[in-house]
Amino acid sequence: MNPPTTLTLDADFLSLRQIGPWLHTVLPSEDGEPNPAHGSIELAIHELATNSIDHANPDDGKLHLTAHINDSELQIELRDRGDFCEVEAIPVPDPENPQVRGYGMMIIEQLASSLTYERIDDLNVWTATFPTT
Amino acid sequence: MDILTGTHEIQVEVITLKGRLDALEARGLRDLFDAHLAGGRNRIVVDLQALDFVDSAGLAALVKGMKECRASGGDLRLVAPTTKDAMRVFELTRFDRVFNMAADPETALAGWS
Repeated sequence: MNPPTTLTLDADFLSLRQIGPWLHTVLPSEDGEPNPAHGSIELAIHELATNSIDHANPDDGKLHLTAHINDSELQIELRDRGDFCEVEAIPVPDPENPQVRGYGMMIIEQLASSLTYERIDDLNVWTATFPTT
Repeated sequence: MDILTGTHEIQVEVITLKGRLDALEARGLRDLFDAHLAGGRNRIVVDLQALDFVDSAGLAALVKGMKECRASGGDLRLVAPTTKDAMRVFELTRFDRVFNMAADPETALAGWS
C-alpha cells in the first residue's frame, strides 16, 4: 500500500472541480495516458461530495478526502463534520417514474465495488473502493 | 363564417452546452428552461456533444426541463454526448432510454420542422 494522498476542499460546488485533477495524480497511468477508470471514479466521488454539501451541511465548511491505492484498488475516504446521514432514508429512484432528484447514491453504488458509511463522533465517514485495472 | 388561416413556423430552441454540466452549472440551465417555458417555447433541443462531464445535478436539470416541456405539450430532446464520461450518468440512471436522444442536431430536430 502506498502512502495516502489527501485533498481538502471547501464545501462548495466550484471546489468539487478539483477532484478530477487530484485523481489524475493519484491513479496509476501507462505511457502518460489517463487511467481508464478515472472518469467513473471522478463521477462517483463527485456525487459523494455533492451529497455531503447538499445534506450534511459541513459546519467547518470543508470536505476531507484521503486516497489509499495499491496495485489493483483505490480506496477513497470522505470525511465531513456535518449532520448525520440517514442512509436508509435515501429514496431509491424508480426508472419508470422519472423524478428530478435522488440519483447520486444510485450512481455511486453502481460505480464503487464497495461503499460504507460510519458516524464517528461528529464526523460522517464515507469509504468507497474502486478497481483501477 | 370567417375563417382565419395563418402559417405558423414551429419554433424550436436549440441550446448547445460545452465543458461540464455539473451542480455549479445546473441552476443556470434550469433558469434558461424556465425562461423559454415562460415565453411559451416548449420545444427544446439540448446539444450535449461538446460536454466532457455530466453529474446527477446536471441530469436533474435536464429531467426537470423534459417533464415541464412535455407537461405543456412540447418536448425536450437531447443530442447525445460523444464522450463516454459525459454519457455515463445517463446510462447508469437509465435516462438514455427516457430522453428522446439523437446522434446529431438534425435528427433531434426531425419532425419539428
